[in-house]
Amino acid sequence: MIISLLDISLQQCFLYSIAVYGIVVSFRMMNFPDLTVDGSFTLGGAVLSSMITANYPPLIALPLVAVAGFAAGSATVFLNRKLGISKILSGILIMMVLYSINLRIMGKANISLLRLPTLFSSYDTDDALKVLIFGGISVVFLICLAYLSMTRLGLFIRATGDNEFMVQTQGVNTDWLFYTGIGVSNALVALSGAFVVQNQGFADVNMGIGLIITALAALIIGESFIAALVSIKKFVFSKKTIAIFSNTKISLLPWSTISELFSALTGAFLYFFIISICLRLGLAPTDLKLATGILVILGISVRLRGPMVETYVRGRL
Amino acid sequence: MSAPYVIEARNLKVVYNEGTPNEVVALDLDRDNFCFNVLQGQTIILTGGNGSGKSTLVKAIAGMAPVKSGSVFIHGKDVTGWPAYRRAKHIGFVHQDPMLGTCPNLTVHENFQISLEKPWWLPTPYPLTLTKGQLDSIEKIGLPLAEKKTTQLNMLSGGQRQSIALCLALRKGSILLLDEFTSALDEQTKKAVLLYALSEAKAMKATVIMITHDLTLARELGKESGNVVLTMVGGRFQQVMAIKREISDGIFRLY
Repeated sequence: MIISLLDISLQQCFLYSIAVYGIVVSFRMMNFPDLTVDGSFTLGGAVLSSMITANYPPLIALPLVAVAGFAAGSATVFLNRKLGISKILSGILIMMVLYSINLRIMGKANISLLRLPTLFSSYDTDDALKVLIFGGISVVFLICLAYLSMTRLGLFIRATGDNEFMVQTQGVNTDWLFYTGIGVSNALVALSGAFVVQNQGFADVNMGIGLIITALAALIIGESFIAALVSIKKFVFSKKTIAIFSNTKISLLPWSTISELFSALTGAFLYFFIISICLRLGLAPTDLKLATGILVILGISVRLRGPMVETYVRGRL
Repeated sequence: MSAPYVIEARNLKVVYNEGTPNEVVALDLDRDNFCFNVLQGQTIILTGGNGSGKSTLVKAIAGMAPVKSGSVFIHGKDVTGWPAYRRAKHIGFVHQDPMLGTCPNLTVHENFQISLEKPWWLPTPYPLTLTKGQLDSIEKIGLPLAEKKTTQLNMLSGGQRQSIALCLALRKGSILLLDEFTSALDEQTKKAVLLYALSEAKAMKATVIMITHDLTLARELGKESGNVVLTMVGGRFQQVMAIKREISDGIFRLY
């Protein structure tokens, strides 16, 4: 039973972790509470499912999904930066607009991909292989984002989220950075939606509702977990080891962002593992949102206190 | 247009909260074709009471204040319509608030990387070493930062952050605007950092507009050649007898 639970939660966690990376980019790197993701997750699924039903190969659909997600994020940034609507409200507006757009793209509320060629349709029966493939996809995205945070572009994205005024006084138009960052974030979420659709075999116009809470729950659980690990690490490693580490060039890499990405992955796993255990223990699927809400509240309030952990977690919620 | 003036502010008027009951005329130089000019390499020291318009003048030059009428020229170019980030290519600005000049959650190293003169969109990793110029400036402001490269800036004191903000601003452009930036520093560091800023600006032949409340210091600095002390009251310049005629004709001019 545990093995089958692990299989299911690993598959889900790897596919949803891509959306959680997107949340890391918008909420943590850019400090932009972007609620568009509820819509762009479905948008990814809608674009992919309608292209597959029109007999396009899934590998051609995926770049289009990313472009569609990027456009959705850019629209939110446009409302915020050019029209002066607040960040949260512009996210909600685009999320709502996307609901109608998604229905237009799909043509109906639900599209089944049964017996149609998806990326994963040839491995349908082999759960272990699926876990490996999904894990590979998730890790590739994690490495790409870790690399992004080490680049000059990533540095400016993080700096804009941190202190926009400072980046402007350095002569940079921060609008472009918001378009890039939030666009990439939504592209990731849309891709995640496209993968989830291919895995579950259908696209539904309501599948994105509550994604932001799921992703935030995963991220916060992961952050608390990694923070706990770090505080244990302090006892395991001697001061000398830490000193040697902190004097090398490796220590200059953006570790806070990289650990956020790892938090996203571990958090996604913990979240889906806990949820599937709850379901197995007899929780009604309709109570799932309640359980998620309680998990988020617990994750935030049970966070370990103390100076090291505080600066590490950067409590921004 | 006469070229030697680095900054020209013509008939400048800044009004905050326009059209509301809280309307404040913060800067009012809008009369008789009045023009405030700063020569290349000159150091202007602005003094005056609270609310006299010093900060507003500096912000209007940097593009951070709502200019109602008049225009600002930098290097002979009309920049009145330019947003702050476009003017920042010519202007280094150190704000009064130490929290505004640096990124609190980034490390010292990352903050220095941002100020490098390279395009922001480069998808290549930023270097893990600082340039010699950056290391020199860290050393000169007298902060033990060389070992603290991995420290996040919110772990440093306001004064240390302000010194870093100064280092970052000094790398930029030919104009340095210092908006009373030493207020967060202790007395000894204050003078050292201030003199460092001015000497570095001299070495770079940069033009400086500095705001200070320290009148003794202003008087002291005003004795040096090339430095001019101006006093503002109620959004206008006060007539200053101490300035020699030829200097004041250069700074205030009818066009």
